[in-house]
This record gives sequence, structure tokens and C-alpha cells, in this order.
Amino acid sequence: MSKESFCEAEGTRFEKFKNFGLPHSYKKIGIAVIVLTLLTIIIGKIVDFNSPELKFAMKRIILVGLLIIVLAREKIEDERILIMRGQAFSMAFISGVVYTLIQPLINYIASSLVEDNKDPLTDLGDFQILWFLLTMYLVFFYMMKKKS
Amino acid sequence: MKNRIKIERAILDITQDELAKKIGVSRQTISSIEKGRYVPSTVLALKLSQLFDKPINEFFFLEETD
Repeated sequence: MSKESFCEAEGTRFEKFKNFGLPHSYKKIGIAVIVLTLLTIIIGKIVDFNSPELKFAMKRIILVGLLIIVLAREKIEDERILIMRGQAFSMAFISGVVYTLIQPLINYIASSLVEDNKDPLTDLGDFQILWFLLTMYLVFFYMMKKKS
Repeated sequence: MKNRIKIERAILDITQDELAKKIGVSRQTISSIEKGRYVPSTVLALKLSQLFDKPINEFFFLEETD
């Protein structure tokens, strides 16, 4: 494969990735995944089944559900929607970074005020950060959609 | 940026929904453009120009703040 055709293939792949989106109907699938996962967690609490493996899996499934909703296209995905998606992604990214930097300090201050034996500074977990990013994206996106 | 999309649409006697379908966008996008909340891309402006059969600067106008 020549250098030019390799670059061309990479460019095409990048364009496909850039324009990636799931069909609109996947939004309902994403919501169903989250609702079913939450129901499983609630039922697990009721019957007192607290397996760490189940908890681990449920957290990941919730993230997959949120990602499906985020990637699902609107009924009519026009240029206005694409611009709003970009703005929502950048706002969610910035708020995610600020949240990741500030939240451990807030936790530390709060725990030092409430308890005598202070907790050491701990970083946020991957689930907490990803959940925050995806949720903030959806909040910003639907807020902008409603306002415009 | 000001525009007279609503007037041009009235001249053609078409609804926001019909105009949206003709140029391949959502009705909300047409509503946002008419209210001046969204400035369309050049491609969309050219599609409108083709539909209204008028140059772009006859229905989009720059304001002093632009």
C-alpha cells in the first residue's frame, strides 16, 4: 500500500468515526437499559443480594446505556443539532475537568468538618467521572435544544 | 444578523414544516433561524437562496454589531 492510499484510507476511517451515530430508535434502547439496570439494583437491595461483581457490572451497564443515548441521533440530525452537540460536548468536558479537580477537595473539607478522623484525599473513580461527563452532556444538550 | 425568512416564506405561502422539509432540516431549525437565534451555514443559506430564487443578501442582513 502506497503512502498516499494509506493516508486516504486513514482519512476515510477518520471521517466515518467523526460522523458516527446510532439510529434514533437506539435512544429508547439506552433508556430501557438504564431503567432495567436501576430496577435490578433496587431489587438486589430489597432481597439483600449485594455481590460486588453485580455492582461492578451494573455500573458499567448504566454507562453503556448513557453512551447509547448520547450517540443516538435525533429524528432530524441537521447542522443546528451538530453544533449543539459540539457545544454540549465541550461544556461537559470542561465541567468534568473542574468537577474532577474540585470534588475531592470538597469531600475532604466536608469530611473534616463532620468527622474528627479525616479521610485522606482520594481521587474520583472512573465510574463517577464518566457518569458525570455523560450526564452533563445530556443536560447541556437538552437544555440548549429546549432553549433554541 | 437579521433576516426576512419569515416574509420570504409567506411570499411562497409555505409553512415552517414545509420549508424545513424542502431544505432538509428540522422545523425547529427554521424557527430558530427566523427568530435570529441560529445563523445557518453557507450551504443552508445557498439552499434557501435557491428556493426563494433570490441572492442571499436579499434575505440575510448584517447588523452593526456583527
